[in-house]
Amino acid sequence: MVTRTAEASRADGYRFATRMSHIKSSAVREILKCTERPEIISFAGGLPAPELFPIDALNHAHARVFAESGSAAMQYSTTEGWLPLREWIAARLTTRGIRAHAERTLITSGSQQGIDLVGRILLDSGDTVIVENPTYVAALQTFGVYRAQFLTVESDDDGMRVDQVEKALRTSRPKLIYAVPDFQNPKGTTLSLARRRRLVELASKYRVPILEDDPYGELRYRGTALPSLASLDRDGMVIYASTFSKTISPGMRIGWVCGAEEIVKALVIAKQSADLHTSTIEQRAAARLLQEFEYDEHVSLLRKVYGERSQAMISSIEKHFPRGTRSTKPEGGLFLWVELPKAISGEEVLTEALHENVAFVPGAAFFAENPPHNFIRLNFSNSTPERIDEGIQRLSRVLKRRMA
Amino acid sequence: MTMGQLSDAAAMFNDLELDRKSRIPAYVQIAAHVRNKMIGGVLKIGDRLPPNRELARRLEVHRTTVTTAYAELEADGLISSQVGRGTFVSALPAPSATTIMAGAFVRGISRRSEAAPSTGASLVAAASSSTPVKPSPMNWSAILLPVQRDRWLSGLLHSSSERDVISFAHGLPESSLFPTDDFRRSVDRVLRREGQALLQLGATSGYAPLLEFLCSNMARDGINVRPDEVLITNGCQQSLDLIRRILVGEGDEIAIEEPTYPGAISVFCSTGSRYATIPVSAAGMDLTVLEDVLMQRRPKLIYTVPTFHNPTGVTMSLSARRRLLELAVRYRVPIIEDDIYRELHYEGPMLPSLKALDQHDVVISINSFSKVGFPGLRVGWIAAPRIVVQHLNIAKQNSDLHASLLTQAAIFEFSRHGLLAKHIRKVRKEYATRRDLMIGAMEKHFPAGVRWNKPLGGMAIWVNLPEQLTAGEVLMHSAERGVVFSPGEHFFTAVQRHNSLRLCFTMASPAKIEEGVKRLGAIIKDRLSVNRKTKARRTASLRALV
Repeated sequence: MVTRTAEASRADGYRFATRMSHIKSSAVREILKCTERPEIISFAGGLPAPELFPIDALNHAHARVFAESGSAAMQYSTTEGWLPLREWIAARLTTRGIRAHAERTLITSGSQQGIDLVGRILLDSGDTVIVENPTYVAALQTFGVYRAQFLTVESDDDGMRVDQVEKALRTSRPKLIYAVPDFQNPKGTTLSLARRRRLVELASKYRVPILEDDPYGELRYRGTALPSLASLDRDGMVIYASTFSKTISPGMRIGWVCGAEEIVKALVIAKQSADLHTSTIEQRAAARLLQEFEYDEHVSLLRKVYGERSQAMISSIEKHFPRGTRSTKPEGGLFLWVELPKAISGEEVLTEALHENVAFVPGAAFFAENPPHNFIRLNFSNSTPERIDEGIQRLSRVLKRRMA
Repeated sequence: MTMGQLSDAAAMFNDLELDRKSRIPAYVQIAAHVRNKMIGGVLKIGDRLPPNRELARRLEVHRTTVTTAYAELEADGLISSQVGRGTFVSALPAPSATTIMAGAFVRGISRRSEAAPSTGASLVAAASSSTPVKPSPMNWSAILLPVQRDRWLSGLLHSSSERDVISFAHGLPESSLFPTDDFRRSVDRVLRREGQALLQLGATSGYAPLLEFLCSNMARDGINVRPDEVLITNGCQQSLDLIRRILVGEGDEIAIEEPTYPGAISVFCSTGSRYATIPVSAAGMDLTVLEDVLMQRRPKLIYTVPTFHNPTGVTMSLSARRRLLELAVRYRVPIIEDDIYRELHYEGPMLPSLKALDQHDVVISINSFSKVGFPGLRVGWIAAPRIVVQHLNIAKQNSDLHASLLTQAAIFEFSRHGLLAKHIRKVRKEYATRRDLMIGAMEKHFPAGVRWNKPLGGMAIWVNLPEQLTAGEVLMHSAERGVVFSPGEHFFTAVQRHNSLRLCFTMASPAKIEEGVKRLGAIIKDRLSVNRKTKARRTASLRALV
């Protein structure tokens, strides 16, 4: 029973919903705040390189939208999203083997909203979600809002341990499987083809849907592209979420979700109640941009630049990091993942590294349960190869000191 | 169509026993019965429904009851009537949404048990049928949580595309007044000046210069908040949703005005949520009822639109505002003040907002740029005590990280050069003219017995028809003649018949306002006389039977 501490007369009298106690502000973003100083070499965020943003092309696209559609660009629009944009997305996904259709595509305010809306339509308090441990921390927080429980499976160099998923499916009735098959955040690993096929089979067999979160799929620098889970799906088990945040701009907040007709209908209803629709102007500007500029060329440029940066980081780590550390060698995405000796804590390394003006995210934040403290996540997309080399050298000094 | 099929169609009503004492109207019961038959697979696409007359006879109800039930289903896109052929099933309902409708009066049905296994699945099967492996399509309806689509909101978002009708239905700002060129220049300037920062991931709380601008703007209205007491959102709809997330837990109850904004109903009054409705009279929210609710049920929050209330247009007096605040403070219940119409003020003194009067940090104020003329941007804000904003920030971060930075920066750029203030003066003048035109036309064309108020601001006029008419009935006929409006039922939490309706005057040109009101007046007169005749005939036939 709530005691009526009416004397506590000001805002601390707010009785917040208990679900809020399950949520803490993202550790990642807290750290980002202190890494804005220019002298800091930051491997902390997951930010694209701002110097590659297509600013002029976007400005031109906005001008064209105002010239062509005038006031309609500033009026309310449908929840589903601007049709030409949905058509472009569906066509793009079709070339990647996904049976996408504009009618079954919903524009969201970034893929974060896609994850949130899926939680909203599927997860009841106490429902179970199968997640990799570690995984994308904001997804964990969002599922936490719906008071979901997590059933965690491990991952190795071939991504999520699908054999453990099978075991979990045999013994419990989860509501959803959350997977990031390409260049997973935080590890940067890619789910192997055999595991992809098996995972989709299992989802079909046990009738448990998969949320495939694919923000990085376009950003492959090495190796062969693997089919997405959605492209392997025959039964409409996969809900596919992606975004323009990594390829055009994260500030615009435009993402999308594709799936079976019923799922998309339910998502549309949920989105309507959540924020009516995504910015009309930004959707139209994105569609216009995609019509008139060479998206493929732009993505190739990103692949080239980020590929160099990832290689620079991999090489520099090989050259400078002390023995006893082990890091992933991602074929794409924005991150690599370093295992430190058991006794070394990522948090403590960070404190010391900040004195050396280098930042990263300690790995513990990405675990749904039993967080080990000897992992760190490094982002390579937002620093030049020279800065990467310098930053890794600084970090190596810290590591060597801690490990000595 | 053979005769056999026809009687089959009527036979599906054999198991319908109308509960005539229920406060759920008969037409809702009939519509729900049809929906259940669709979900249960008894009715399939292309099946024919019994003619109105036949069904009315079988159920012993008036024909208009069946007509209204069919109109409901038709509005949901589930059935369509073809002149001379009859009425046919044209689509199947989403089982979850239907369950809610049926569950409203069929007690004891658990919310999952009704989810039909087959309907939706066949749609998915069609999408992936070209594959060699035998597909076994996912039955999504079995696991989807119940969600309710608000038809009125959908209409709001679709209505801008309807060109040929005179629409008084939705509170859309007039597109032709949008400052498109000035706004385009603002976008251009900010992209040139700070493109890299604006396209990068931003802070959840919002674009800092806009936060500061909003604070100084609010200060002019007597609201003293600092930037860390404000959160930028994707408009008021999201603001409501975020506030619900942080304050309303499972089993918590809220107090909500009735009638009210349908988007608030969709956030606070969905399946499983608990709420107490507080009637709105000519003086605004009924504070006597509110006090009873606060005392006895201790709700988690109070939602109100005290200034130019949607849909009634009523403005709460200064003394009522003070009284409302007193109650909120005494019972420790926060108020969400939806202040979205504040700038659309046409006459009379401008009263201070609840937030400006608040001495106890009890008010959460929400507002946006949508009604003054930028709905497509989706930029709104919440001003609240710091601890509340801290919680809201987390909820916002989980929802979608932050609102589009470019649109935030562009609206700031536009506003700081005084263009926003200029634009508001312009729309205020135009909307005041349109309001007066509409009221003039109503005085001229509406028959006696139709009542309305003159709102001092906002976008709409709330109209009460004579008791014997329903807004739905008038809408059915007016839509045929190219005039639409929002029937009152959309602004209430429970489905029932209403004789009230809302006419928006902002998005129709002066000529269309005159023409639309004139047609509406003719239809109302016409329905009144038809009703009189039907009533007379019904009385006559009863006598004959006796």
